[in-house]
Amino acid sequence: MGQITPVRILMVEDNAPDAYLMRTALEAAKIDFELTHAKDGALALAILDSASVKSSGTVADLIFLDLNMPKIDGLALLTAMRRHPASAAVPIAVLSSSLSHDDMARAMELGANRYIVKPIELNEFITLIANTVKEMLSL
Amino acid sequence: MARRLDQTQDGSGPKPRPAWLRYTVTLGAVAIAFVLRYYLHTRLGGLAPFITFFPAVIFAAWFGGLGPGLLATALSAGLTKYFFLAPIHSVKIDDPSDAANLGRFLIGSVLVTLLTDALYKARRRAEQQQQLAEVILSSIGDAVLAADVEGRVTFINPVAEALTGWPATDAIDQSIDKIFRIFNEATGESLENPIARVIRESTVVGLASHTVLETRGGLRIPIDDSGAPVKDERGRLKGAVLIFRDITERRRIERERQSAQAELARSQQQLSGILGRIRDGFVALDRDWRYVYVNEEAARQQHRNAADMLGKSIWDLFPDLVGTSFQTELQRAMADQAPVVLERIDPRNGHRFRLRADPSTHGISIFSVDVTGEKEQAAARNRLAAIVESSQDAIIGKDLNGMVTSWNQGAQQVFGYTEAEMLGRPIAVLAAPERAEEMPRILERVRRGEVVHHYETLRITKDGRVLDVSLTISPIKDEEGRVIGASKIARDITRQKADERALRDSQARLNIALEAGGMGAWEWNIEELKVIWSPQLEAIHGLSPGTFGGTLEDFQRDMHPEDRARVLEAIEAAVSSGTDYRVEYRFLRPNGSIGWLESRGRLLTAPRRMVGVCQDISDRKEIEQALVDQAELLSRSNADLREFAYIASHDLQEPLRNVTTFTQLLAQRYKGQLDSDAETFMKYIVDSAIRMTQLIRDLLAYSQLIHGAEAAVGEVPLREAVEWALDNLRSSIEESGAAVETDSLPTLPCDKSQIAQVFQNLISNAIKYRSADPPRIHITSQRDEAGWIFSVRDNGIGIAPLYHDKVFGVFRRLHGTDYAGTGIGLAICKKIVEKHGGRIWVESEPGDGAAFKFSIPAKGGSGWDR
Repeated sequence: MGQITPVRILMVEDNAPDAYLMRTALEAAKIDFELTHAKDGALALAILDSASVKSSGTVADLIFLDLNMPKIDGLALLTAMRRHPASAAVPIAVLSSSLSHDDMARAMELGANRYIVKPIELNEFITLIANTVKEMLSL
Repeated sequence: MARRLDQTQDGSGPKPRPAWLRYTVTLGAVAIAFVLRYYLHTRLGGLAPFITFFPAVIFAAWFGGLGPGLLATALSAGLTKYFFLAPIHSVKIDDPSDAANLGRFLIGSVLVTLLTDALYKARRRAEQQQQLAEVILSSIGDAVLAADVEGRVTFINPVAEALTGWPATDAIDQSIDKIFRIFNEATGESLENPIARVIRESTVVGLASHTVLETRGGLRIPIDDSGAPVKDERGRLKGAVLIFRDITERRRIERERQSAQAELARSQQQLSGILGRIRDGFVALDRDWRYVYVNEEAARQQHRNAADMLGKSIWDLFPDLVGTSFQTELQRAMADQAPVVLERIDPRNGHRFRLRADPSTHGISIFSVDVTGEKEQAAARNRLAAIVESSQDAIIGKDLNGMVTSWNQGAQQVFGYTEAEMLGRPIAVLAAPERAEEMPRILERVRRGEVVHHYETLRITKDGRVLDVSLTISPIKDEEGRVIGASKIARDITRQKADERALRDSQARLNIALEAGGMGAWEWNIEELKVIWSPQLEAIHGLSPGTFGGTLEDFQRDMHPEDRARVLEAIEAAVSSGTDYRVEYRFLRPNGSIGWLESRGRLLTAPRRMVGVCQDISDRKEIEQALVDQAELLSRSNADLREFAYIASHDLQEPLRNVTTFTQLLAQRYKGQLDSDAETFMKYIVDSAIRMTQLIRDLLAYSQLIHGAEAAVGEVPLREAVEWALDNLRSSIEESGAAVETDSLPTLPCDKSQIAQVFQNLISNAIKYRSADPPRIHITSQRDEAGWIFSVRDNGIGIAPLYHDKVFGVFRRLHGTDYAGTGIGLAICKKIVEKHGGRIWVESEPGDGAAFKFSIPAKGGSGWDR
């Protein structure tokens, strides 16, 4: 840890309870972070294309991406992000409720760095998110 | 006519007056006439200047004919003018009356000359004819008698004199009846004299045949004759002529000729018979080596046409023989008049000929025999005899009376009689009594030269058995082609007949089977393009028996138009490749409904045809369609189920998770602010939500096993699968203090994550259902002939045998909530093992631990892997 600037995190999550839970988990992990929340895929793409992002080069230091979203689904957004200069090199963790091996394999194939099945218990959830942020920042 | 007579005169008639004489006499006559007229001129002057010349011209014409007559006329006219008409001593005529006189003289003289000449010639002709008749009558070989109307002999020629014995001197004026006495040769009766009949009837008569003439000496001579009336120029009957001849000699010649002809015909017949029959060549050469006879075979042997050879010299026709020993031998044979035997090889085809030359004073005759195949022919004869003798068929010879003339070994085997028993006996002993009338009928056909083929009938053997036999009877002919007997080949077809009956029976059974199976039989003769349908097949198509047309068009008539091309294609393919034909197609029933047929067939040869059966499969097709429909329904419902599983996996879990996490968040944030009941309630909510999530996940996993993709098969070292399972279970292993021991495990083709899941579930169970002692788990593998057997043994609470099967059911939990778990883990294991072709079972007693075992069949696993 011990980074001077706060970690810039982009979270793409349509589900408000999960978004709340994510923020709770990040806070619990005692990380100095700056969270941008996109409530769906379209908003996420808009953020990628915004002027401020262009000036700084990358959209964030890491991205949490929910797989199960209406309109633009998580896998499609993942594909788009991996092709977008503002996010092509940013570590991405895909979050899902699904245990499906197919979804996992597909996400890894499309360029996700982590595939996280959202734990059912609060503490597990907090621990997992904290560990994931640390691991991904060291990538 | 005159010329011909003249020529005849040269030979036999009086010689005509020579020309020099006729012209000399003419000149003389004219000279005398001139002298007389000159003498008279003193008395007559110019009067009657031609008076002496006329007689001269007439004389000259009478004596010398036309030429002298005209000469006399010309001379007389010239002399008269010059000497006796004014002006005298000149050829000129002054007085017109003189000219007229001269013209009259010339015309008259020419006319006189022409007339005299005609008379002269007629006279000479008559003289000649008289002479000719006499010469003919006295010189011809036939006897000639002439008689007048009174029947008295007026002429008899020398032949008639000799024949009758009457010399002319005695015969003339005698009654014809005395000279010419004739009788019937056979009866001796006196016959009417033909002269009498000729005179009476005034016509030509022939003599009755077999007439004999009695001579003056009493000898009777066979004669034949004819009589003709003699008439004068005015047609009055003057008498009759009888011409007859001695036919003794002719008769003898006739007889000889007849017998010679008969002899000739006989010998010719013999000769041509011999020459025609023998396969020998025969040629006859004259003394100059020219062919005078060549038979067909000889011509053939020499590659020539017999007609072209006749009359030509052998040495000209075959120049390559000249100078050879063949020529010298043949010439020596002719010179010595000694037969010689020679050999000649035809350079064209290598045929070897044996020639025998027989010289005679007239020439030499040569027989040539093709001896190339002599040995082979003998061998062929022997072979034929051996075949006849060893034939299984009875081969019997019989004459036209039905008597046996030969009897082979086969006949003995078939009929039981020996050759000795049958030779000379009637073949009829073999006839079955009920077929007795057929033998004469067959014999009659054979007599006519007919061949009777494969005539099936019954025959009786020596020991009284009745045989079905097939007969082939051929006439035997002699060299002249006359039928002299018959050869009969009899084959015992009793067995064959029995087979035929069996075939008919089996055909009948087949028909019953076809009917029972709703099938019809068909046959398609490919060469004749004819189709035959059994009555059953006609019934399937709704036709009454026998009404199917039998053409390919009829075959397609009720076929569904959309299926026609496919059926024809299938037929085409079967015919061209020789593979079996099988096709299903629709047809239109007479009531308009559509049915299905299945047709199967197979190609047969001789004749090329396809034979098969056709079955109405409409019912089966309906069932098949129902199955297809159901399968579609099922696959739709499966898809629905997968959809449901996905929804369960994603959409049901999120709310449940939120229930859990936010309840926990509530509990943490408001710790101490709520009473103890509230905290207990929140714990219940969280537990229930967690348990429901677990149930959904397990159910999802199980449904994915059932409906998901096939197991991913790769070579998996099973040790890795076990390690993967142990990794997942690390926390519970550490917590329970379990000791897990793993023996050597093989590498097998299987789905790694699925097999790892099996180990994980089994190990997890072993930890879960532990006894008071710390769990000890032993994983082993064992090879048997079918594959591998794996075992996960524990020292836990064990399972009663009653539940050994039930534990593998879905949501089967033997224990209450004392033990965590959803009760689906073993069901998942069972499904995975079964997917790998193996089975899973448990060996256990309560309180004695359990050994869960599963088998994976070997499909070529590769040995041990540590």
